[in-house]
Amino acid sequence: MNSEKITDNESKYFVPGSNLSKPKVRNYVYQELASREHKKAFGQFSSSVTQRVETLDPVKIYFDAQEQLISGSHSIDFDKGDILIKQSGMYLIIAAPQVGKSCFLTCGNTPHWIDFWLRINNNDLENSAVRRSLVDNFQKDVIPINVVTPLHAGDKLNIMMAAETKDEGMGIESIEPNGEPVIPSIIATLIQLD
Amino acid sequence: MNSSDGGYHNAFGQFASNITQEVTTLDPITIQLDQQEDVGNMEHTIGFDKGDILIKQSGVYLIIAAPQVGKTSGNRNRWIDFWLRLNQKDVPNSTVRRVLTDKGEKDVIPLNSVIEVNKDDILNIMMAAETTDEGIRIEHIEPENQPAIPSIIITIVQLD
Repeated sequence: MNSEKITDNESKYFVPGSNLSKPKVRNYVYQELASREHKKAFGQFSSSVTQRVETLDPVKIYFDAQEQLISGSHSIDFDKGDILIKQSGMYLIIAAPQVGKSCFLTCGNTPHWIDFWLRINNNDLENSAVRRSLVDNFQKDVIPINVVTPLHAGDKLNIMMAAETKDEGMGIESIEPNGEPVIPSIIATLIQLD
Repeated sequence: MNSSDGGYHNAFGQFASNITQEVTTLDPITIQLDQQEDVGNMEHTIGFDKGDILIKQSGVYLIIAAPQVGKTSGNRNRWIDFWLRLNQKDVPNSTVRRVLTDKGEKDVIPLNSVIEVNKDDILNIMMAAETTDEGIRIEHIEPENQPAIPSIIITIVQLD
């Protein structure tokens, strides 16, 4: 019997400092990275929190983890759902929300969509949106967003989601498989290109 | 934002399409593009002409493409494939497949590849489907009060 767990937290959104993993780094990699200066900005952001859509309005996705750095400071920051740009440049942004729905026996057979897109300084970014439809709670998938866009120091980037219905527990899911690493509800990577 | 000589050192680009493109032949189809990223007053480092992505700088490139797939009829499992073509030759190890059953299914299929390309090379994103009778396609969708969903989004980044 499958006993893996979907982390439907009571306090649905941001849990400060929760589940921050500390990957082991081989010594020679550590020594090399410790002396390196980061000229271009980069960042990985993720969430260990399941976030379900409870309104028909667009919802901001929240993060609670960032990549580990061996030296220096993060060249991109985050505050809950806001990704905070510190260096101006062209950026490649890849986001991969882990989608699912929670309704069981009450879903019906009608597929309903869930959409994701980027928002910069509270303005929707065109040509960034993607859609997945889900029928039941057994369906799990990752929907890739990929964008190249200019960002400026001080810009605030959000990843938004919206669903066709708020009654089926549609959203992004953090999953805890037995004997495997936790699956974040979203993984987002940003790389400054030039 | 740009290097000291007034231009970008490494090439990059985002391409998208606001056109729904249906598979109407059993032969491979070149996906058409009609959008490119905003670079302000700078010149694009990669060009495009309809379905042709035009390489301006030689190098090794990371290519990510994300077609938004769907179908309009039928309830049998039907595949749709996507792959890269460079100068009219299929790129090995670039193909991905999604099987669609009914018209309610919507999904995005990621294609990712690292390839060496030369200045003036022409890159295409190709698609082919199992049947022409069920409206298998990449879909441009316009939700109410939300940004439009392109039928495909492609990002290309020069690595070296």
